[in-house]
Amino acid sequence: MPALGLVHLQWIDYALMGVYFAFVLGIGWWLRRSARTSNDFFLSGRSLPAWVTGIAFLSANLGAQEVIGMGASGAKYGIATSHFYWIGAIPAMVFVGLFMMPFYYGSRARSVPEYLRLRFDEKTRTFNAASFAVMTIFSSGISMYAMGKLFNLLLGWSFNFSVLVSAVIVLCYVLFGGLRSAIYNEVLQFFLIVFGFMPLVYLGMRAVGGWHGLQARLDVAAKAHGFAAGAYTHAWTTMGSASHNPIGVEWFGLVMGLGFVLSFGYWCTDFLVVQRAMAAKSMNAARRTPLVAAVPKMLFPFLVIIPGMIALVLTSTHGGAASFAHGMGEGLIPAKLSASGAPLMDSSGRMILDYDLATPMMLIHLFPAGMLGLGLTALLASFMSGMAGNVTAFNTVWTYDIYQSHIRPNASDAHYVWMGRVATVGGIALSIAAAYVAASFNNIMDLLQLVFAFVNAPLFATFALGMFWKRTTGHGAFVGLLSGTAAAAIHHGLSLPAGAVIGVKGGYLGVLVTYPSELAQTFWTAIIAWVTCCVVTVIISLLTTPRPEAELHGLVYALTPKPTDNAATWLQRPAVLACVILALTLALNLVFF
Amino acid sequence: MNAAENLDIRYPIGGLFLVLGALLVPYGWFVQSAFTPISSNIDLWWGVVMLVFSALLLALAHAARLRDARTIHSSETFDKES
Repeated sequence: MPALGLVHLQWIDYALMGVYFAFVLGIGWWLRRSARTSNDFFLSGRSLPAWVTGIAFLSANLGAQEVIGMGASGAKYGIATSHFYWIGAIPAMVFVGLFMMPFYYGSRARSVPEYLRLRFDEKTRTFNAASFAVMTIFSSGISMYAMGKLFNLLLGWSFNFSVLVSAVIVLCYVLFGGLRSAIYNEVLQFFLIVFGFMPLVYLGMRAVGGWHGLQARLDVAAKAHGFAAGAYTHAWTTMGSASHNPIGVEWFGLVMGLGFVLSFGYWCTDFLVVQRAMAAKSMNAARRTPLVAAVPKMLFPFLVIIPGMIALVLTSTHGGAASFAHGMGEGLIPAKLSASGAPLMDSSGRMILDYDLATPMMLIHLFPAGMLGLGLTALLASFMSGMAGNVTAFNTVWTYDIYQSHIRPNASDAHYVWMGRVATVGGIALSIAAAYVAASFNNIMDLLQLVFAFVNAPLFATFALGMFWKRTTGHGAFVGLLSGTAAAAIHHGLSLPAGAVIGVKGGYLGVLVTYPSELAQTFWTAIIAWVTCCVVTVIISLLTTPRPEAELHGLVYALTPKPTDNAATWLQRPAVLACVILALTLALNLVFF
Repeated sequence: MNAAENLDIRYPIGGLFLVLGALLVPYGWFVQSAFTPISSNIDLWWGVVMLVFSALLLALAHAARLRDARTIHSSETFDKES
């Protein structure tokens, strides 16, 4: 790859980064004596207030995929990308807080797979634990790879250097203080990301003449891409038909696929985020964790999507270092180049843009020395919080759900803390290996992400049936999960997004259906997987013997006392908080309709 | 709970933003001002915002500590009286 907008950092930029590293390591060092028992190391002693676990809940998910990826989607799809927040996150976050947390937190399970063992059986737990453990390793590896590649491109840092330094820093602070250290650092990283990106939005908006200026420029861009004016600046008006909006999906697929199946499957069952809520000091704090997180989450589109939208229409004014060397692209976003250096074209003759560079190009273009250091530090912080989130979730699932339940059941508590530390080192080492695999075989990563998508899609059906229908049995859950995964693979194999080649994008079993876009295919794959899992779980459950009700207290809705909201102020009542959040989200949808 | 576990996260975050602001403000004032008019000197202004945020966090953390100290103190007096 040619050196694009290569920038030279000033001493001030390095100084700001150095200060950040010092504080992150300092927190780990300060907390080094706070992780003595396994309860401390894996659950931070269940002692944290809701605002801390809430911010960590958000921040663990705020990895590179989010900051870079949502900027890229902003440039690709416009404000409709906010569906990933307002439809694809907030309702599920409210649901997990109000209705599912009583079982996760109340059952005293130490992990999400462990809840599955308490509710169902060992095989369902092991299936979930194993797929989750592999997934966390690979997602932290993919994010490391993305970081190494990006910093190499922007700053000319060597890939090995970026990967190793960030891995060693995360390793140090997780090793010292366990989950508490990871959570405290996630809170710090959250504020750094917010303060690093807010001025980017402000400067970008000023450069394009405010929201109205951005709208006018995006209307022109929308027409040039073959859509109606407003396709990039309205979230809903073009959702009537898949061909009228840049996402290439119609409202039903969006609401069911993204808003219901994928969103609930992620926010309600992924241990990476749920672990943060489990670390809260009380049931009330645990239930408020996702709700506290939902407030900044609904405002995040302005922080991470808008820079991408601006990047599409902002032209480089002063050339030089900030513009891309070969001059091909749109706005600030360079075209993807073939090996010979010519821009790649799609089947309709349009340039393929390297959307992942939208946000980084904005940083380089708009920030002077000093702010650039802060912006790049914010980017590093997002990579690290994502990595630490994966590593802490991995070491817990490995130690409790795989090591303790299958390899060494009755060891001392100190032994499991030791194992957790070893798993931290091992997890980071494996992530680094995964980053190098990603660097050499890009298709393997696409394939793996596909397999994870198949495994994850049906999960919410299993949890929802397990928590809200006491008749669900372990055999039903296990067979349901397997058939949901199989259904996802079969549907994917029989469908293809328009313009794609048969292979990792689908169609390997023959092309029965063609979708207007890859996202539409993903959403419908999820819907099919969920429905299959649901139906199969119900049928098998009815055919097998249910567990006696006495064993299900605290695990199933009907057999668990309802949590009472007798907190002092309305802000401390989960149900009230939830209503406020849903009303605000609805208002945001209407404003950007 | 020992001292390490009692760490109020607002102290390190306030400290981080204090140092970041304290680096950016003079850099904006002395170095960046040569290239940009003061009204659009983002290093300077954003540095000031970060210092204000830091002061807010440190003040909140400090107030919480004073409040905790008072609660512990008053509960001790109560114990003696009863």
